[in-house]
Amino acid sequence: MEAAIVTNGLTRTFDGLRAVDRLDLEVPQGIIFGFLGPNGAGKTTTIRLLLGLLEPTAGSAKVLGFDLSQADRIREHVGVVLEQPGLYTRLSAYDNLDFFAAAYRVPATQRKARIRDLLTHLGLWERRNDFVDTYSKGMKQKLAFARALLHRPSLIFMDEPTAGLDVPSAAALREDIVNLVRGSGTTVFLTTHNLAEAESMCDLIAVINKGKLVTVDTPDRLRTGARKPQVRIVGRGFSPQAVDALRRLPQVISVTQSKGSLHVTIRRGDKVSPVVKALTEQGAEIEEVVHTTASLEEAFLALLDETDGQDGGESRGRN
Amino acid sequence: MKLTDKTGAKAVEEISIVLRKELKEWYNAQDTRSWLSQAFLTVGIFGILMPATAKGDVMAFVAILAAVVLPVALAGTVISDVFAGERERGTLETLLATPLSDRALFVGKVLSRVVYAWVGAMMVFAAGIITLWATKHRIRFSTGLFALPVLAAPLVAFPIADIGAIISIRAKSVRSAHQIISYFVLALIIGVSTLFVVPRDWQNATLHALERAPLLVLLCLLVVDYLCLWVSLRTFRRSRLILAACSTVQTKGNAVEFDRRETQRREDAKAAKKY
Ligand SMILES: Nc1ncnc2c1ncn2[C@@H]1O[C@H](COP(=O)(O)OP(=O)(O)OP(=O)(O)O)[C@@H](O)[C@H]1O
Ligand SMILES: [Mg+2]
Repeated sequence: MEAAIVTNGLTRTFDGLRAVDRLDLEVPQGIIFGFLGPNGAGKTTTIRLLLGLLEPTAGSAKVLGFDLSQADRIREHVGVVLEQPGLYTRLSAYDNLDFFAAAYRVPATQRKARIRDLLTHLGLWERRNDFVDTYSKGMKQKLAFARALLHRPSLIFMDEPTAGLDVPSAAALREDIVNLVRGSGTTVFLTTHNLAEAESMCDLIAVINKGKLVTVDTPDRLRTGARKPQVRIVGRGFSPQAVDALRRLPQVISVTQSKGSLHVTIRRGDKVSPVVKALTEQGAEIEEVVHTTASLEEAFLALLDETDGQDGGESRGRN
Repeated sequence: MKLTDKTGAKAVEEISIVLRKELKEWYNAQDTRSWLSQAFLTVGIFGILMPATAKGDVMAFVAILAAVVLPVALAGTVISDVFAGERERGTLETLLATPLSDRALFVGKVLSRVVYAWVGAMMVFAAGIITLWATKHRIRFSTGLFALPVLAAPLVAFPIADIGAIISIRAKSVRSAHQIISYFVLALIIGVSTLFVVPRDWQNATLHALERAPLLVLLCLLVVDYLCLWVSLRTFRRSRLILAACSTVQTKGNAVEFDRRETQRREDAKAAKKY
């Protein structure tokens, strides 16, 4: 199956600033693809390039099999929820969707049914005749999502769809996105700052920093790849000798002690049981052994650190 | 042949989609009071007060008001919002992400303002004739005098709307677009007003010439309109539009945007802790 998005050395500069720098991406079809990066990383610029709203300085890309030079064909098959909801506040919700449905060439005979389906599903049908400026932020964002789905696109771009929503609204929208997308074969290209969101929704995550692609991986592998496995051992009797004995074990990389518990970093792929055995042999009483994995946030920050180089502190500080 | 028919029909349909949206948006934005005040001012001043107090060839005066002055003034006042407004209200980028063609977007939007100017000018024209009749002025009948304003008004409004739309794309805000467009409107209206300052003989000669050759006048206007449209469609490119859009957001909204995101991030973090 052909990938939904393929980019080759895609680059865009603004007065010398490389907003997107030789980006090579491949987004498989039918998945939720997370595009993660700090402010100014080039996420929005990438989306604009892929929609043909900006011209690349160099490189090329194919979206749904169409080259960027056929951007009008791309726009026909793609739905968008951009940084701003892009709804006409002086039109009712229904009129908004009606306009966009016509613009996206949904046949006139199907428009009404499609709008009704979507609005009912998202719980907005009762308020369809209200002007959008009477809508809450969460409702607007839902409506923007409905607009993106009108023409049953095979790919949806979402630029921080849950930004500015309170926790319940964001959760509801996330659920709607996942429900409506899963099983329909639609690909979602989602940018976000919210790591928990990326982790819970995305099948694959790309990290971008200063226009450059840092890595692409599954959320799990990103997390585990961030640092070596660690175990926390809670108990009593962790004497200096016991700690020394641990340090001598070949599979142990480091040991730190705090408030009655030990933090042991072990080599990837090694078992914990020898560690436990060594401790009990030294007379320690063990109550609990817990594997701790890095959070995606730690992984993300570590990745940014690796790539930030000289002036890296700033973008980290913001997160 | 078939292919061109189809693309032609599609173009017309797309233009009408944009046109309908524009008109609906504009209609919804008005409340009864603004409807009344607009109608009262325009029709009251240009359709009643001015014809009632005019001297000389009053019929020609009303015709020129309806054919030139009002189309220019009305189109000029509502065009500044056409792209700059979408940008300010944050709807431009989503609009550009639709498969609507560049041509449909531009022409649909320009036509919506032309329609507005046309309707306004015709209301004034009708009011003017009624006023002349009511104030027992002698109404001169000629096809030129009656048909010309009706047909010429939209053709006169078009170039102003067209140039205004291009200005609206490039302007930093609706307000600055409005200022620039106002100069054009003013210049044109002053140009037309000179007709009423020149000696009576010249004035009559010009008016009679125009009146006798309505088809030629319309043809000239059509040529001007076509040229304006041709030039603007060549310069209208959506990939440039968004650049202009970004740069205003960048210069104007950066600090605000950063604050918003920062607040959001803090809230997110707080919420995450709670759960
Ligand atoms: N039109 C423009 N003119 C000049 N610079 C621009 C323009 N658009 C984007 N940039 C710059 O390109 C870089 C990437 O911007 P972009 O908006 O793509 O970042 P982002 O990852 O979407 O950030 P955020 O998370 O803040 O939305 C930034 O440094 C930005 O200032
Ligand atoms: Mg962005």
